[in-house]
Amino acid sequence: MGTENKEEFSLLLKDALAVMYRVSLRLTKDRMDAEDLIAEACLKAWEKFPTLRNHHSFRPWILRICQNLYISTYRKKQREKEPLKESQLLGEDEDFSLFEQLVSPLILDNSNPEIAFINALSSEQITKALSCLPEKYKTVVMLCCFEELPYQEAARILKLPIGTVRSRLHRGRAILQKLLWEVAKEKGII
Amino acid sequence: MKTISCSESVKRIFELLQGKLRSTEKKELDNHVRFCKDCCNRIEFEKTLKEKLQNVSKQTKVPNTLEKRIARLLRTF
Repeated sequence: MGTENKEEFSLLLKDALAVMYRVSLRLTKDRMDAEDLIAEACLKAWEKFPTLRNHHSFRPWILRICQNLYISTYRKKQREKEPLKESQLLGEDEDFSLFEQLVSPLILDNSNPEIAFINALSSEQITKALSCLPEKYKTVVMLCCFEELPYQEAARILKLPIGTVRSRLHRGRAILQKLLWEVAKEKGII
Repeated sequence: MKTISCSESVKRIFELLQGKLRSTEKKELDNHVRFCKDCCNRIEFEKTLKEKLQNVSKQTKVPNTLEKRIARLLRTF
């Protein structure tokens, strides 16, 4: 491939690297594994780069490569550390809202208890809650809530219909909020 | 203008935060929250929580080791 292509690839990769790292780190839960996964993804992406017609789609395209590599190579390793099952986290027909938990009984002695609760949560507690989410929800929540990617882009990365992205995001958000509630109880925030 | 319930309002709040709410739906939501303190507070809460999650994400920086590794890799292409 020509120098022009290489420069273009390098620029696109530079823009996508931070989100690739954050997503890979959350998936593998291991810094070295995340770095290895990204290096492998870069190699694969470079090989396939001539087939990418629209360079504006580079970010979802390379994130899709990361996701596929994770599934084929790293997920088996992760299974040993698999978090709790979905049913243990939230019943099938159950919904959960942190807001409702915080507002109805006015748990915190503060004029704005729900905002005070959010401020009291640490990054570690949020990261821990996210890591406990079942994988099918974790990836959607990670892409749409943490990385602010639009539904369409998440759907393209995960090869899912947009409706499925929406429904997984709804349930994933509810489970995450329940996990944050549990973490907060455990740490004495509430 | 159509009036909406609190449960419909909650659904729309999440769509609003994802930037996916159509203008008529947004007007109906705005109209609802003007008279519903709970939903108004709910918007503030979900917005603050979303910002918190995004800030957590942004705190994770690409390690130098990875940047150097990628730079080395790119030189081999």
